[in-house]
Amino acid sequence: MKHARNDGPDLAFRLGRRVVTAVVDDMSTVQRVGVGVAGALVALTPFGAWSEAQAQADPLIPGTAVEVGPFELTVEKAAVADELGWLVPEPGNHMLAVVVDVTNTGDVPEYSTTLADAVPAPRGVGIVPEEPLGNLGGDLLAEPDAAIGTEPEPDAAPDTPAGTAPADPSPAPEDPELPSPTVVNIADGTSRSALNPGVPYRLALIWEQSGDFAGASVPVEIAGLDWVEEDFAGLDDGHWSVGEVAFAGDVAVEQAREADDEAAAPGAAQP
Amino acid sequence: MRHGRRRVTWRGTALVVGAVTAGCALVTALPLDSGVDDPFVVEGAVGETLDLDYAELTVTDVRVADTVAGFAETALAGGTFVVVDVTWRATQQATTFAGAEITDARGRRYWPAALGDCAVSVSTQPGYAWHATYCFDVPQEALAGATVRLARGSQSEEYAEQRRDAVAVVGLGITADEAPALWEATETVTPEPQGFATPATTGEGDEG
Repeated sequence: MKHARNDGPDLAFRLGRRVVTAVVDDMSTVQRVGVGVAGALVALTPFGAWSEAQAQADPLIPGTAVEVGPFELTVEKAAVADELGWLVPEPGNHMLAVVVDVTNTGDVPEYSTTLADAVPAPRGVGIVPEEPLGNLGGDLLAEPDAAIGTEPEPDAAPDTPAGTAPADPSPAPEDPELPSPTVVNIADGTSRSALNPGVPYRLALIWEQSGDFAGASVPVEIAGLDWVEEDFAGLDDGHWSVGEVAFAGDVAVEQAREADDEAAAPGAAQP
Repeated sequence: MRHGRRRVTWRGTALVVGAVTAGCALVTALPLDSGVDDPFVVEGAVGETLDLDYAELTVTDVRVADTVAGFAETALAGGTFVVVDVTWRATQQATTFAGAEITDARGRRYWPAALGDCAVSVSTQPGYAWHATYCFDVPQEALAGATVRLARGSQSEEYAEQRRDAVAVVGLGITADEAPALWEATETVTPEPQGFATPATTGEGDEG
């Protein structure tokens, strides 16, 4: 008789097979089929077997309220301005603000970042992509003296010494990560981290946009927010999860100056 | 290995499934730890000094304003600001008081905003009276019967940090009759930045 220890890795498999065989042998055909079907359904669960079929996004009409998770939200308009208070774009760029009326219809405060997560940056209208984190490391690893006071060129450092900077060969992917909007309360130019229930807020969701953009509208999408009562791994219970795009539509862009007065000029709020 | 022929019967299966279901139901239904996790609530009113074991707390004043003017920024309420002035005195050790929340008569909850010189979290050394002002942006229906809940544990994550710890719940003393007038008023409050409590900031100076 061989020592079980020497059988090593396949011992568990053999034991398992023996148990399964013993149980299955004693089953009727109907029982076997039933167990097979139940097993298959359980196995499919993590792949979304029970999720509803993907729905088409509803049209987003400016001025019409939509329900998104805990928020009742009305997209009012979009506007561009050279700068909005403390938000100053790079030279040549401007700021794009999507103006929304929002009320938290729940019983507890919600973070404004939850709202920001539900409104992704409009695609294809020159929103300035997020600075890849790799660049931060690149700055630090580059020659310290040379880095100070000089604008780092976007495609610099082709001659990075081997083994230093983790030079990403694809720094400009075709679909770059676009940033979350900065959320500003329009009435006073302040930022609100929590949106209290029942309080109507008029907010500007602001992105930096390339100066080349001269379109008359931007495509705004609003993703659904689903409440996660119990997280799959139990590590992050009770939060709003960003789902599929639920509403999508073009929002007309007001040009420059008039928007400047209205959309968040914090300086103007001083008494 | 096998001794005789056994059968997996429907009855046996039903017994096992039934036992598991009953066990799950029992675990779900029994209030296993609700009593253990409850905070120790100390109730009080404006002007009363409450002993929270780790600190003494006095809500010194409650005001309603639609504008909060701070040194660096001025904030306009979406609803109206309930401005709550308090004095914390940590009694054991340096303490951060991270919990501040208003609950209205219907149970809806409101968090303070870090606007103007309003505080959302307060850190103090033990033995000193420390003044802070919290500003809550609330809708009109939240005013009447509202209470403020203050503690060292934060109220986020379903009060996880306040479990088995002392928590103060102070009635703001706003009646249903007063609420409409307070809502209509267009007051501007300039909160005192948080710092050592002086007679001026606690309102005690008014008496002398």
